[in-house]
Amino acid sequence: MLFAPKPQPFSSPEEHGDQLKAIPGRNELAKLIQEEEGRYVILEVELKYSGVVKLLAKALKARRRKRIQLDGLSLEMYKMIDGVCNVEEIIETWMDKYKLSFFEARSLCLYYLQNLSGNGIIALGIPKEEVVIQDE
Amino acid sequence: MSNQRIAWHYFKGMIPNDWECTNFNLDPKKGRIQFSNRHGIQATFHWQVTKHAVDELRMITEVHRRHLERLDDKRLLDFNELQHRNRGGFIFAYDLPGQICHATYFIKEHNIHFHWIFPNYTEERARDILDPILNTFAANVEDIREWGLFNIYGYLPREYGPVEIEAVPANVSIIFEGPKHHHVYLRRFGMPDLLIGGSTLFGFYGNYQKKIKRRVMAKREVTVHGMEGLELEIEQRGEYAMEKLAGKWWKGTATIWRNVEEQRMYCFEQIGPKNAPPLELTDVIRT
Repeated sequence: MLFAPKPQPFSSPEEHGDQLKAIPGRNELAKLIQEEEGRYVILEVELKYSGVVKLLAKALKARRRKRIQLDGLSLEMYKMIDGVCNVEEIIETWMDKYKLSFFEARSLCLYYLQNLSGNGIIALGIPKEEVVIQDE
Repeated sequence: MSNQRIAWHYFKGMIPNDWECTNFNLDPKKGRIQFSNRHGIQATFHWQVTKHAVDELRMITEVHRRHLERLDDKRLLDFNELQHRNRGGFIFAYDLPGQICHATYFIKEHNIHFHWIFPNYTEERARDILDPILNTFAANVEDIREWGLFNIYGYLPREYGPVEIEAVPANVSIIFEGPKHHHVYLRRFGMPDLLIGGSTLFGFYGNYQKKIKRRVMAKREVTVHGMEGLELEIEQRGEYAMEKLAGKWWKGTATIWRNVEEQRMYCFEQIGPKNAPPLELTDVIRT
């Protein structure tokens, strides 16, 4: 759509290991609009325009919010995201639950994470390595 | 270490359970399969049908030298030859720990050369992981050939060869073609509860057949190796020459069965012109 902000690409570090260590976290500004337990959830996120598009959006009174319905596997993925589990742990949960191989679960997980991230519902962060300072 | 069986053109054997095929080609005369796990690439397997005998050690030494050149490795200056020993019919060759190592096997009777390349050679890895692989490997050149990749297994006459692999997450199809354009499809579906949803096995599979432009003429419930299944009579437009031009319908069968323990569904489909001899499911799917 003309005024839809560009979805942020899923940050995929070159190293396999970095990707697995990433921790997804929910967008706390996403508002829960409607929920039917176990079936679907409708979330509303604020749209942010930038640059020339921002001016055009203001002039044309483009929409400021977007609603997204999550169901099925995307709902399941959303519920697993707690800001603590990393991508590898999520993959392993799906491997156990659906008896998938590592690469099968990984492809599915990354697809749904990318989808949720593109819609502004989650973001991914890579934890900084802890630096241990030894007392002299 | 738990293992899985693999079988492809000319070879069969066992590999660790967590190795998955992440790259392949279908050329029967000069092919390659790459195996990886969550830690990265674990091995590549090459095969080649040659016209003459192969000097295996010389070939793999040259491969190793070129590998060191590509990496601009300082070891190249001192490198002369690989150390080697025999393992299960293979010659296992290596240099220093941390480098790639090789296993080579030339079957004289059929002029087929196999070449494994493994990264990160260490003596422990060779003993615990690589030796068991090499000890299980055998030629796959009988009249009824075994096929097994992506956890799909089947036995087909030697005239059949793979023409296409469709591998999307959790759902894989391997398509074989035999004499007189007879096609055999071996499929594996994951997450069956989600695929079937609120429908039935026929609801899912019937729709799948329609999606791939076939029509379903009849169905009946069957049991395949003790598992609940369904057999459909199917038709599809001919794909070659006059059959395609005249728009003739090929007849065939499509069987699906559900492995509840594995949470998978497997399919065996065959379709072809009238004069193409059909195969028995029990001959193709033995487990």
